[in-house]
Amino acid sequence: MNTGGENKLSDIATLLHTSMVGVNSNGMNKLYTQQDVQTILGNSMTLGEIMLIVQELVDNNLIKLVKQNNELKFQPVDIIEANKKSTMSSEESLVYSYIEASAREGIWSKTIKARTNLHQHVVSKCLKSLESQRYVKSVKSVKFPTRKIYMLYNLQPSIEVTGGPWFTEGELDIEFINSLLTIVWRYIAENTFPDGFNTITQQQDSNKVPRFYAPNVNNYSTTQDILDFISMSQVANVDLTTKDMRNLCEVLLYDDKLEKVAHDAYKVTLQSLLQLGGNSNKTTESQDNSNSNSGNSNNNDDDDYCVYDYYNGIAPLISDKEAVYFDEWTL
Amino acid sequence: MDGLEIPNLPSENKEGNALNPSEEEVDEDYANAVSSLEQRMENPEKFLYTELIRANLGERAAVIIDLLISLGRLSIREMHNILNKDLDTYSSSGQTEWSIKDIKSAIVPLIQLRCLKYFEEKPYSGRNTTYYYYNTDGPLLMLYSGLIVEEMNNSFPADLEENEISAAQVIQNVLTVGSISLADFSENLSDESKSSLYAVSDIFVKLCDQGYLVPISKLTYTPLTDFWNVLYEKHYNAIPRTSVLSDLRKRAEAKGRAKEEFLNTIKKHTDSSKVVTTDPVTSLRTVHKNVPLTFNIDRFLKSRRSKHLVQLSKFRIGQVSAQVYRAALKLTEKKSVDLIHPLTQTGLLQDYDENNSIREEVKLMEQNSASFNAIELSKHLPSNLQLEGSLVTQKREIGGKKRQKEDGDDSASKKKLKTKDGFVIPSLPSHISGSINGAVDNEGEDDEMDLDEEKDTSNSVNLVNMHLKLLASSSIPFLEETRPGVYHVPYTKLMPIVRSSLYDYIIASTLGQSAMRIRRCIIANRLVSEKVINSMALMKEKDIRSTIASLIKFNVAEIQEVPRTMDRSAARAVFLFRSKEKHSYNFMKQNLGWNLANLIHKKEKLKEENATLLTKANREDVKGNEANLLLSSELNQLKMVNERELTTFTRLTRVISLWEIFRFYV
Repeated sequence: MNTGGENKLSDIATLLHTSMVGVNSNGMNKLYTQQDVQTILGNSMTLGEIMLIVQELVDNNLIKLVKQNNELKFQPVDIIEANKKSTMSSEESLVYSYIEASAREGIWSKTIKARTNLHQHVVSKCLKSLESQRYVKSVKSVKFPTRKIYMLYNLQPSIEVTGGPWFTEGELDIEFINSLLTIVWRYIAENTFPDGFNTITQQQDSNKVPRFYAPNVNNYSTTQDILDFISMSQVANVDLTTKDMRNLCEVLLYDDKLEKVAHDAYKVTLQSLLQLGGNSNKTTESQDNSNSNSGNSNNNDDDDYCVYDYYNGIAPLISDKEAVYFDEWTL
Repeated sequence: MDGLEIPNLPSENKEGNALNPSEEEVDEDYANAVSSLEQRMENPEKFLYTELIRANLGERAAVIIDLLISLGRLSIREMHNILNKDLDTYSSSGQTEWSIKDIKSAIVPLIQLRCLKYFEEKPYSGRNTTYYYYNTDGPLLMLYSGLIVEEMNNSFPADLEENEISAAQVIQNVLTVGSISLADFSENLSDESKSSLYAVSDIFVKLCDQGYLVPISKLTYTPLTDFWNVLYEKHYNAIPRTSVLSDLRKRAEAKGRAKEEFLNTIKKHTDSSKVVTTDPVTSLRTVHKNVPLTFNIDRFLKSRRSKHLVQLSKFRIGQVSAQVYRAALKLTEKKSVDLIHPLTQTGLLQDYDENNSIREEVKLMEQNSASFNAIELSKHLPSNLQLEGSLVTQKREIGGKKRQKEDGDDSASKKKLKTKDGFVIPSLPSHISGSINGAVDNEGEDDEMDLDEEKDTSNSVNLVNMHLKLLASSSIPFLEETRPGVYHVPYTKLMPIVRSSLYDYIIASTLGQSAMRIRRCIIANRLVSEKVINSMALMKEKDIRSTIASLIKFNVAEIQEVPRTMDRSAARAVFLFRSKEKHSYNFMKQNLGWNLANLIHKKEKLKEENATLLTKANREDVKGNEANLLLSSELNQLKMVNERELTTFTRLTRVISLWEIFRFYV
């Protein structure tokens, strides 16, 4: 029957294919059982006739055979797709079918070789030709940076492959992350303290008492709040979710810049705020202290050495023979 | 925006814990000052104690302590044998032999200054043997002496107009001679100060009341383990042999009784109220004249502990709250639970159940022994502390960007909270008060007026209560609310947090911010691979690897190797990282302890090098006339020596303040 070459399809086969694809080609992912095909073609046909029509479509790559639950099913294939396949050599189409099956996850070239049982040369030749025809593309995976991963040309790689919003071209985008971290931290800080960033300047200005929220004020920020803020200010050009916000908050938590109040609710630590303003002039600070608390021993802890404001320290001179070195003992 | 970047300060920006300079910068002079290889190898704590003893009591005493720390308890005869066997290692230059008399004379000051404990044992042969143990109290008192005197000056400020004897002076005397009684002290006063005898006795009473001075007793010199064993044996043997109880029962019973007696004896020993009596002549409170009193280091360590807590709260909650907290700690300090439960020193901790029960008991004691409320506390707050205006009860809107819905929520919660507490807004900033609706505003004004009438200058109890709540509701439990309005300090929960945050910041200040991030990431996720750190801490793998290498060097993190192939080839294996806090802290303790010892060592070395100059400068005729009698080069040298000694002392106190956290507050 298949005499007129690939382009000439019998009417009945075309009819079957079109009705399987459906309007708006929404039947592409639908699977048809033998009964379904029978209903489409009308019950007057015998199984033998149907078999011939289906065979014709299969020969033309217009139908894929899928086995599901031990039952044979048919899946229609787009005509353009079918044309692509028909121009390929058999090896190419074999390779192509595996790449197609891997969908957005992509498939490693070595896996293709193992699955298809083809020789390395053949596989690489096939991949080369498929790539040059823009049927497939190779993408970089974050998980396995050394592997060559292939997927269909028109597909967007999945998050697992790209690594999510923090990766740009397979590399961790430190600059982007750091600026986002700062933004998130500043946003939460504005929420945590009544005076936001002025809290530190007030700490140094001894005339004013730094103000904090009373214990019954809900001064935490939730990941949803942060996300709203970030999307509103349009600083990121990638789609972010609350999960990403949580991720950022976790990092800030590790940096001791945030503390967790409850699940997904965070506050800024005072420590981090002080650290930000900590590089101020120490002498003025101590002068302020002596002015405000002259003759009182209550503030004597302020002069005490304390590791929490280590950033105010002065590096020892090289000639200093009494400097204590953290790693001297282990040398 | 610069808040979050890893600070580009050099990592050696802190005097206390900077990293070593590169090799070429180390000049010869420096190399000489560093301790010997041997001192590096040995136990840092031993190095520290022997250095302390050497600096204060001399070479011979140091040798004895060295011996006792290395070998455990020894009798004098045993010491004699060992010392003479290894004469090369144990004798200072010029000494040919150790006689029994030498040892005994070296031991006397050691005992006097609480560096030794002794215990008499009767072996089956019949002759009593006295065994000597080293006692950490003495060296610690030496180490802390400067800080102790400073603390005394702060807690009991001397009013010089009335008399020239201050608490610090009394304590200084106690520290130099080990123990002193009121009679001894008064006797040595110069004639003109005799008049202030009552003042002196008053100082003694104060010190005893606060628990800084305790009577010296036999228990001070008895090793607790042996004491426990004696008690246990006694009670076990007291149960008649004919008793029908099983042996397990008997032992449990003996243990119970021994515990009771043990704790009672210790309580009696530390109870200083016994020594305080009423003077029959003046009916003033005074101290028993002839009871020798000594310094209670545990009590002092409590005040150090408070200091650490206040510092942490200052950086966590805020300065004002920290001052409230300081007052609260000071109020409860004396009554608070001992740093180290005496039973933990008996070896009973080996038993899991015992361990648990002791822990539970301590927790219960914390709740019951030293609780307080805001009213009590407000009386003890420093007068210059301004609480007003330090807390804000209204949530501020951020630049008006907040959504309308949230606004509604906020003001609703505000209203509710006000009616419930009846609490007032202390001076609202204008931009906020403008945004609140009228009803709330009126209510606020009413309350504010009420408050103004109530309080004169004293801080209102309400505000104090707010600060206490703030401390209690923080993620670090600075306080715990036992019953509504009644608070206590949960030391058992707090101290581990203090320790880990101190550790974090030591790491951050020496190895960098990223090191802290990785450490906290590892702890939060228990067992992690490089990939997990990569995705959780959002750091580049290259950076992770270099940071982790230094973390492993300092025992902050540990590697766990997971082989993937049968032959366990390292190339194929996966490496996971984990952190064992106990190991990290122990390492840190040793590192800091060694540095302490090294500082003392350097200081002594410096003095040794300039011995001639120093003796000259200290001569009676030279003192006060240095400018005339010393050469200019000598003056310069003297100045240099003094400066270096001073910096050494500063650094010592700094390192101590880090070291003690890992040493005591476990």
